[in-house]
Amino acid sequence: MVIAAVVLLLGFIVWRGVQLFVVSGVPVTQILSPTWQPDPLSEGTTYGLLPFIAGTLAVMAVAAIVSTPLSVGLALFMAEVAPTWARRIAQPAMEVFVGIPSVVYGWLGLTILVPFLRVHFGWLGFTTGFSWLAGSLVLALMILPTITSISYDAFVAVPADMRSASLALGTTRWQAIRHVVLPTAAAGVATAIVFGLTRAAGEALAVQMVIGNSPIIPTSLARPVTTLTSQITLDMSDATGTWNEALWTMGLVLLLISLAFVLLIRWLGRGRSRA
Amino acid sequence: MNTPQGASPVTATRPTPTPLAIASLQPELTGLNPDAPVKLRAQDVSVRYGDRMAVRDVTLDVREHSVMAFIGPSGCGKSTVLRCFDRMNDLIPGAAVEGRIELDGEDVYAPSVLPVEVRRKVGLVFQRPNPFPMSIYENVAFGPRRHGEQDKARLDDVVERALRQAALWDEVKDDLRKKSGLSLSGGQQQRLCIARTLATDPEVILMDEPCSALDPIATLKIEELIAQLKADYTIVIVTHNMQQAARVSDRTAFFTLGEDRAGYLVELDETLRIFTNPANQLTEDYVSGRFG
Repeated sequence: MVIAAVVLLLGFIVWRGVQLFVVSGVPVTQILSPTWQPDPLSEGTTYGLLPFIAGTLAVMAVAAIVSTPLSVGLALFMAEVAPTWARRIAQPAMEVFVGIPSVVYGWLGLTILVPFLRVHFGWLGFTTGFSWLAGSLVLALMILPTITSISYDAFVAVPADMRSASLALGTTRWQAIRHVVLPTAAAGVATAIVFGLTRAAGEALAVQMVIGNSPIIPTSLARPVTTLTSQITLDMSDATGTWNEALWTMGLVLLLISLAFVLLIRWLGRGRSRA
Repeated sequence: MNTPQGASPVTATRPTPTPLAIASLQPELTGLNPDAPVKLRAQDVSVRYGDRMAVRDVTLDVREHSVMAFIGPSGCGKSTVLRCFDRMNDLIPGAAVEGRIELDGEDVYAPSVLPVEVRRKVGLVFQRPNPFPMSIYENVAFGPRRHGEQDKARLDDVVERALRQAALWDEVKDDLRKKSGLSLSGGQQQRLCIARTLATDPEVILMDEPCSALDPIATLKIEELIAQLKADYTIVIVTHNMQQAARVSDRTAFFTLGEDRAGYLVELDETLRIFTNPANQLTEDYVSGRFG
């Protein structure tokens, strides 16, 4: 049943996703164009998805760059340094974190982060505050608990006698962490980051609220950009005909990105079980 | 050669004399030299885990280049005392050591002494082989690297020497960097762990039931290794296997559990005497298998 449902769903998205090319006859290469001009009322339409694909990857990448050191550091602290009582507080706190609805993150971004960027960093080009950076920072916060809790599990899974073995050789605790715990847990941490990215790729609402939604190729952290998900939610109600088909194609691209991440997770997991 | 029926296990019917037989003949060639300096000393040592007294009032000396065995029933504090010598007890939350532990006459627990320094001089081989999930080479080079050795040629040297000393070189030399330490057999892993310890150039090697997870042939190899290492190192071995204690050690300390469930040292003497003519009835009962 479940498999049938998944296959049907996937099949449906693929079927709708290729209509743009099959039914409307838009050349496949056109989706790599940087121009997004879907409005049938204006003169000539171009369904370039490059700004959205590039925007999605760019926003995710910066979110991961910001979030990874923080969350891996936090996980390491919880697993290796924090006393038991701190661990007892931190773990449920992480779970609460995961459970916060994304509109809350978006709202925080919209009411605090965006004005903050505008007021204090306007001189750096944040004229409105709505920007690639704002989207990435909100996402970084949202994926922080995901990366933290999965890497925490990876650190805790490193056998205690590995640490003792290192300490018994006269290494410091930090050396044991740096040279034994981290390398041993590396595959698990990588999996955690990819899980975080997968969540980031699929997030629409919070990002849409702070990113500015300009279909341009991202070149500056200070300027508004957009992502596949935010554009889909934004255009849903207006799009008809070929425009609507283009949104389905965007959904298909998103699906392929997620699929790539799932495969990456599987591949990383395989490496871990071999070690 | 036929062994006569009912022969005692220690009679010299084997072609090579046992360490026990050697010990009785040439004390100066063994670890029984009375002039050898004291390497390790425990003076009135008691260890608590939280409220529970684990072992109390242990006083003993270990002479340089000798092998001392700790024997006794489970939970009698043998491993606890062992881990005082390299301050590994520090890692157990709630563990408190009273009394004095000396290495070369210096107080190991003095406030000015760093545990890290103690552990470089006093290596520990664990009960279960615990190589790192890295190549054989990286396992052995781990200690020297962490202690600042960068030079590749010198590291190669240290790794080869340690693996030779641990009688593992011939078995692994062809895939030092290719094979993970975890891909070796249990006995090889334990010898790898010994090599890893030797590579940090310790003076003392503590072994906490190093053969309890190994088969008899792997055990024999470790025991032969101990006999060779004695020339350069001082060794303390905790073992549940009394034959092993008899085979490898010069002196044996027998611990047991007191009325209060805390362990204590019953008797410490030359191994031969402990196993043939102990002074204490409890020791006699334990080594003859009537107890424990």
